[in-house]
Amino acid sequence: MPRSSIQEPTFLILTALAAGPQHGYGIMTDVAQISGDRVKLRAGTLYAALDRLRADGIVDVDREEIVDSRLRRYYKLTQTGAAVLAEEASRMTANAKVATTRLRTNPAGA
Amino acid sequence: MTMTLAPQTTLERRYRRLLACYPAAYRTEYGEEMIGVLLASTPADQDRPTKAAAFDLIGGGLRAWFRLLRTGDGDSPWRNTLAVYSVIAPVLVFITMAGAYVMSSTRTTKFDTLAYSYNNRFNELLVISAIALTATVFCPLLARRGRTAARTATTIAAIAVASVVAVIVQMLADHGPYSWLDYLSSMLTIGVVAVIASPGPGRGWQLLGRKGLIILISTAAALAASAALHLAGLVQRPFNGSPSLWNLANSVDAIAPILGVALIAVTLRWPAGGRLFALFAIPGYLLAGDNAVSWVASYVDPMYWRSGSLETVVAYLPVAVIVALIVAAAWRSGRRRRPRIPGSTG
Repeated sequence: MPRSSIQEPTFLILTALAAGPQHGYGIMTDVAQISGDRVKLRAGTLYAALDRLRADGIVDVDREEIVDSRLRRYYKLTQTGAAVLAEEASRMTANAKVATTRLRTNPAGA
Repeated sequence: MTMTLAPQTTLERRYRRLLACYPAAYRTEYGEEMIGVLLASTPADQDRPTKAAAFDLIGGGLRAWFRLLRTGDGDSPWRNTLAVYSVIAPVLVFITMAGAYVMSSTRTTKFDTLAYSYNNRFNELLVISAIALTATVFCPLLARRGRTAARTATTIAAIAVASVVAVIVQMLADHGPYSWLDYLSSMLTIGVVAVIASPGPGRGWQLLGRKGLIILISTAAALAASAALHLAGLVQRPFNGSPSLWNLANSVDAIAPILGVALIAVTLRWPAGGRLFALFAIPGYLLAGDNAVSWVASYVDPMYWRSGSLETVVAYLPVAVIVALIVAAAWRSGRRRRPRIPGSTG
């Protein structure tokens, strides 16, 4: 059975982690940058997603640091996570290609 | 991980209060990290969370609770509580309502008006009971096939259908100024919600065991007796607003669903809780209750306050105290069992 598509915030979180391990705040800023400030994750949404992704084995904790007396935990993409992201990116590319082709042949969509 | 090394600012304290809506296990895992991220993403001159941030945290907390209940990670005694409750609630309600319905339809007493009122009410409750029982049967079957979403959808649909049916039947009956909320049994609602969150009645049956079954049957019998007393007019509704035994009995009914859950929690956490459970099972109506929603509604209705009496309010206090004590006992029991995390201060 094919895996169901993942939601955009999740896709962006995985994309942020594809560059390497990042901490929570880093993921938030990276997601905003990747999406051109269109998607702004908040802490509640981010950690709900991270908790779910950890449970699914898609992301994992890379390391923990204490910075200014605050816990900073770095997350990384697992092998499964990388495969999920690659599959989703491939699916989105294929969809985009079809959409682009059809728009080229019929720009007005009529 | 719990760390309180840095001095807390007003903003941090406010964020921590918002994080209180998350499950304890979730806070232990992510709380400090989230505080760090929240503080880092808030402008330095701001001393309170924005509304959007507050809603995001509250929504995240609700999602975390739902996920914890659905996946079963976390505090297993409470899941076991729900499993037991998912067995007890529908059984008790069905037996009680069925018994009372039979009585009301076969017996004519001098309390004809009262009996008529209850007769209609039981018709509605029987319908709701049947729907709840159906959900109780089907949901675990769906869950066994790994269709959690289907189970959840079915349960929510059952609650919705029960509400609609209650409204329609009440409109058809047209027998008084009762609110339809009065007919949506809070016990059933909690029972059905318990089915969503619990591992299912199968687990509940296991936990109940032989002793639990005896308690359940005796409770059901006591419930039927309690309902019969109401029906026969021996415990009457105070139509003139004066305080009476009915007030006390009804107040116990109203708070009973919460009390029931707390009692079962104590039973499962604490060996002596079994005896306490049995003690409370004798006056079986403690575990019944179909007025919690209307009870709450009555307290927010200004009309009630104008016409209500102080005695009525006082009648609720002993029950409230008992509930508070039991919940506190369950909470303390949970704290004692919680393993300490090395290096933590909380």
